[in-house]
Amino acid sequence: MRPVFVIDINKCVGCRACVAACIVEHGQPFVASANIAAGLPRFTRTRTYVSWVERENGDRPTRRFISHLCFHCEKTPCLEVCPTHATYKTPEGVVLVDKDKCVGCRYCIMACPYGMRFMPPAYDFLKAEKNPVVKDAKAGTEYGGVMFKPPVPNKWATKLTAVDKCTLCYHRYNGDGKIWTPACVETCPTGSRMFGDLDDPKDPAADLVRRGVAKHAEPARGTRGLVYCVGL
Amino acid sequence: MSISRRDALKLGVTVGVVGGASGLLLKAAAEASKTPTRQFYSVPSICGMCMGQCAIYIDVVDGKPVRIRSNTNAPTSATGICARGVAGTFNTWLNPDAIKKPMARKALVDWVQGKISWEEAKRQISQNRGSFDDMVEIDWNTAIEIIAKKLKELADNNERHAFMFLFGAWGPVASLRSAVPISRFADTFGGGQIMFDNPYCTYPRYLGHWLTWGHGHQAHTVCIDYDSVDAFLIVRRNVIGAGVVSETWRFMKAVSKGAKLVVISPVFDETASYATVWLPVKPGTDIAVLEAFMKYILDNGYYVEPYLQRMTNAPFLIKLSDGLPLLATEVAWDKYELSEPTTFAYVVWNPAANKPAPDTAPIRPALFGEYEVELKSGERVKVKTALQILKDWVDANLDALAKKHGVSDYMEAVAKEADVNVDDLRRAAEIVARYRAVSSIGWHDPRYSNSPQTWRAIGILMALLGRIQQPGGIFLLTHLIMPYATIYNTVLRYTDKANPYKTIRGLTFSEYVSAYAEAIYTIPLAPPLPGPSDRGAPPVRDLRRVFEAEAEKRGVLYAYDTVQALYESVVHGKPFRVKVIFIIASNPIPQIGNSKLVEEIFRKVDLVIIHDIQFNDSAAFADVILPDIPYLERMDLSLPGPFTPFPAISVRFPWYYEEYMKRIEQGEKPGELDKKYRSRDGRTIFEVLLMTARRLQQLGVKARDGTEWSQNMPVGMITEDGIFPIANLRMFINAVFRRIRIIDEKGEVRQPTVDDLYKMGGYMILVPTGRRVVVVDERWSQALGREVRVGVHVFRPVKYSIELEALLWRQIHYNSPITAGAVPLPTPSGRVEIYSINLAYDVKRVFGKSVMSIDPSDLEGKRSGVDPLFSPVPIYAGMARPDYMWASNLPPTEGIDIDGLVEPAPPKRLLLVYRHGPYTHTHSHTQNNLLLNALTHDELLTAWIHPDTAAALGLKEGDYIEVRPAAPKVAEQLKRFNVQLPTARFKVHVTKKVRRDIIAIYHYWPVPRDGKYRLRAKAERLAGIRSGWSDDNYLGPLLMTRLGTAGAMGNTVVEVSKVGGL
Repeated sequence: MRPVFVIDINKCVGCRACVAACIVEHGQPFVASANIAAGLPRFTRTRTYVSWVERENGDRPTRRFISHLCFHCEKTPCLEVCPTHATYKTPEGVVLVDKDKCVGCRYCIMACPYGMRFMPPAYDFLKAEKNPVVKDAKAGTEYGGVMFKPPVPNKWATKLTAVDKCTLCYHRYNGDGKIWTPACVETCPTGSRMFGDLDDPKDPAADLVRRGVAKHAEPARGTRGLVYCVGL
Repeated sequence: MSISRRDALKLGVTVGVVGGASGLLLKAAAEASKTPTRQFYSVPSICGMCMGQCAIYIDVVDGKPVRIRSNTNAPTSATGICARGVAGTFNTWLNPDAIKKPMARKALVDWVQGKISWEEAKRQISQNRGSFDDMVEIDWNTAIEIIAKKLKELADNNERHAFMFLFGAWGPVASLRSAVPISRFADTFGGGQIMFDNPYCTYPRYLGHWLTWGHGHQAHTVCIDYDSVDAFLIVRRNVIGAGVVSETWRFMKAVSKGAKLVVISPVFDETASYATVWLPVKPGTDIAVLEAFMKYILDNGYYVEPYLQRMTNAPFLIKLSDGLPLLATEVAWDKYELSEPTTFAYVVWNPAANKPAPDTAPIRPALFGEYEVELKSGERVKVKTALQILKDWVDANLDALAKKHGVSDYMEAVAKEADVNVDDLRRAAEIVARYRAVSSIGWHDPRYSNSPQTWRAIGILMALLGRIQQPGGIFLLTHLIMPYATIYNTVLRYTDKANPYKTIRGLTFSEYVSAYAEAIYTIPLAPPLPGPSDRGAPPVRDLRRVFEAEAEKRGVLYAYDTVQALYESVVHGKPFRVKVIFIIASNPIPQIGNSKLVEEIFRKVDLVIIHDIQFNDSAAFADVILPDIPYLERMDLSLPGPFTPFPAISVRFPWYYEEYMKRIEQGEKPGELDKKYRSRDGRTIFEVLLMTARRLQQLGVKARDGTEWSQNMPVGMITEDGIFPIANLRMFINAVFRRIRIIDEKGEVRQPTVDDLYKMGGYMILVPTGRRVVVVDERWSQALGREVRVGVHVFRPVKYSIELEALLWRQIHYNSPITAGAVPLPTPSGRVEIYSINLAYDVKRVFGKSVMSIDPSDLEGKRSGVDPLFSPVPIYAGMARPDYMWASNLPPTEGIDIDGLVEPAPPKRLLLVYRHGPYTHTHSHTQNNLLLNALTHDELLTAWIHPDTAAALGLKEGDYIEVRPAAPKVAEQLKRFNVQLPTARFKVHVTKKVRRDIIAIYHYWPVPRDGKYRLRAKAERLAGIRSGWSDDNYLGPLLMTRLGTAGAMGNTVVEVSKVGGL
């Protein structure tokens, strides 16, 4: 099994259902009370994000919806700099962080050419947690729902003391050699996000990669990886 | 039922199928493999975050519902769900402002306990409306006692009609298709109901559809064959931004396959991001642009002749004397050596024989031309084809525009009027015409005063291009014709067979339904018990109906569900005073303009009850606040939502359904068990109404026809403390299904059951088989004392998958009798109406003048004998008509251009355009979501202003502006009630994404108020971005336009000034 993650930019509507699903799936903290600069999302950081790239061409505005997530590079700068070997790669090529080994030195954050790693912002998070609105909301978790915790606990879930990044929802992989479905792909309403297996000749996502329709986002950097884009 | 990993592996696919999610448990097991002690299972349910009602799964881990995912075995959510759906837990259990206990104003509690008089209670509560300060928590018995005691008082005083339900389109999302029990309660008690957002959000569009192809209530009555569309014409609609998944994925599939996209909108919205051509038209000039497209199509031969001849009334001969279509019964057929048709027919011109012919004749009628026809009376009348009139009037209208702008070319004239680039306009016209564009219908309306005619124009364009009820176009969902029978009977009034123009080709609506039953697929859901109307009781004295009649006397056509009536009634006592209002799952104050005046309704009414999941603006004006239970905890019958292209039934299962049923089997007590699963002391609206009915019965208040409440509503199915146990609901929903017939896997014809639905993941597509059977309804037969026989369709139940999509389109739409033209559309002509027979007839009936007295070159609407707003073919006559400012008997204010309205005059006077949010726009039930709030850009919540306008105002990015209503009439209205002029502050975003003469804001992020219980998550989100009365409905007038009573909030103009900052 050789997983590939394909983002068809031409199908994205910027709805951020993927971001919502990712936040819930991994128990990522988001800040409900902070007031940060206009144009930025109200997160401190998230594992995936969709930016609205808006430009003005003369009198005409343009807008594209661009997804961001870890590219799970084949040549892996973040892994190379990790002093504790917390960053590692699975046999399928998924780049993960062992949260118990990570000491939060942030070398990997600096090494990532794409800015896809981050430290969960503990201060902002703790501040948000003390907010009366958030506290009142959290009381509801006694009944149902999750807030800042993953619905299915796993060792790659967000931890405030360790570097965070996209795991391609590796916790959903059964270890049986069959492709799984990341939460963002599962929820994407337009099929802009796809996940497939290059070893499966019938896989539509893999087909886009095989035919060269889906390409690496920044080939000049030579990091390659599991994530491909259509229409970038 | 909790399933361990081992159980899941053992049960494998079998359980997966039973659970409606093949393979799901295997995945559950996979996840569980990381944490072997965890128990994981999923329950099929229906999303309650918007009217789309997507199918979902609720994941339950260790006995707690924790996550929501899409159910891909439904046409709603075949590819996924939106951010709102994912964030559902934040609305249900993680909502800091949830209502958890019943509450009432203290004075009411004192009154119901006999401590103070009603007069004293009324005095106290009226002082406190608008705040929560005197609210106290109460038990359910006290809450119901207050309501029942007040209703008894109305009944004792013969004022049952003074009780009114008020709910928005989202009200039915609340629970169990709540409109059904609400209607039944209203019918039984003798009160009324208003769906308040119709005139403000959607009704102009419905009216445009009804007058054009006959069917169009809500957004789910027509669907688009997206897979075959080559071009879209999107008029002031944000298909992408609206984010209704069932439509978005199909739309984006077409766009990514290369469909062209023309977007007409003053704002560069999310849909415009993908536009081939974006036309940022001056608001309200849309009709002029659409006319230019029509002319381009007609002049360049892009129209589809056979379609127009066969499926539209384009060839019908219209008498120039009175503007009415010629009827076959009028023609002296013997003069033309033809025999008179034996069935109902209109008249067309047969160019081959050069004489008239019935429209039923197998000929190719003339589409254009002016002729003379001899009548039986001996008179020769001049007639034109409907299409000729359209062409002539469009030409005249565009000529007048050309003169106005001093140009000779109509495209240049329209470009100047709409203030768009003429080359873009030409390019758009070519795309629309060449690729036969289809218009995405959507939910909302631009809310302009001329909106119904805009929708007529869109419909006519699609008809010219042969895109209605044809592959690659729009299709009517005929199974939704019957549920909206009221429209045909009370608004369009297809009830008098003697009046041919108010029939469907000579048939009343009920005759039409009977005659074409095989083609009008109905899903015969029926309450288990009949109500007073079913037993033949006369109609209730309903405020809406009385108001409609009054409105028509004052020159308003097709009033319907008009919330303005409530203002008239409560504030002015006309035509009678409503005293008790029950608001269901809605927040009317910030949703109806002018919101400050709407507050007056709630200040003046005797008793306001609200049932909702959370506190909101309107709750502050309520006297009794009742908590609902979250949708993930409810079992509801929920029909398919908007944009769902196939007939279906669905059931929302609570997350604990399996476990609950197992415990019931083990002998646990219904009711008590239900309480254990409820997150709060809430009751569904069905339960609230049943508790009230039961108490009324105990107090001796009978149904309006003298029957017991238990004969009308299932009051016996709730427990002592008002819970309708899931076990009983299961039986109840099965009873509601009793008239539906499916062919099951054994080939037997039977009714579907809740268990069938559960196996299918909560969602069952019903494919018509063409077979019909007669069902004897035992329940109603017994209740009514006569045999009730109902003819119904037999459906094939299908579990949806995306692979079946093309097949379903073929079976349900392409091959339907209505597509083949074998069955008339529900319009007077039975066809798509290029020329509106309804308008032609009703204008004459109401105003006593022929529509032919309309001058199509009258751009200001001042020269015509009849206002061009009522034209049978849509023509452009300026944006704002002299709208009627209801309830204000003052003369027009001096110095304003139009009665009640003003024209934008940049930079200081700008038209306020509201934008719909992409993924976070929710209504009252769902508008306080921490996660969705976090997902929203700050930029989206700012006020968008064009750089040139900003420069003229001295504004730069991030500055603050103050905004107030510009129309003096609004100030005048408010002054009468000593209400201060509402003002709002916004942070500014300077951008070319808007026109120079508008200010665009993100609609329905209503005013956060300080204090307890007031949408705190929302308030925190808005801090520093907007404040004051910062929603569009606070800044416009309370008015209704004369065609369709549109609220016309799209005509709101505001004064803008810079402020130093917050």
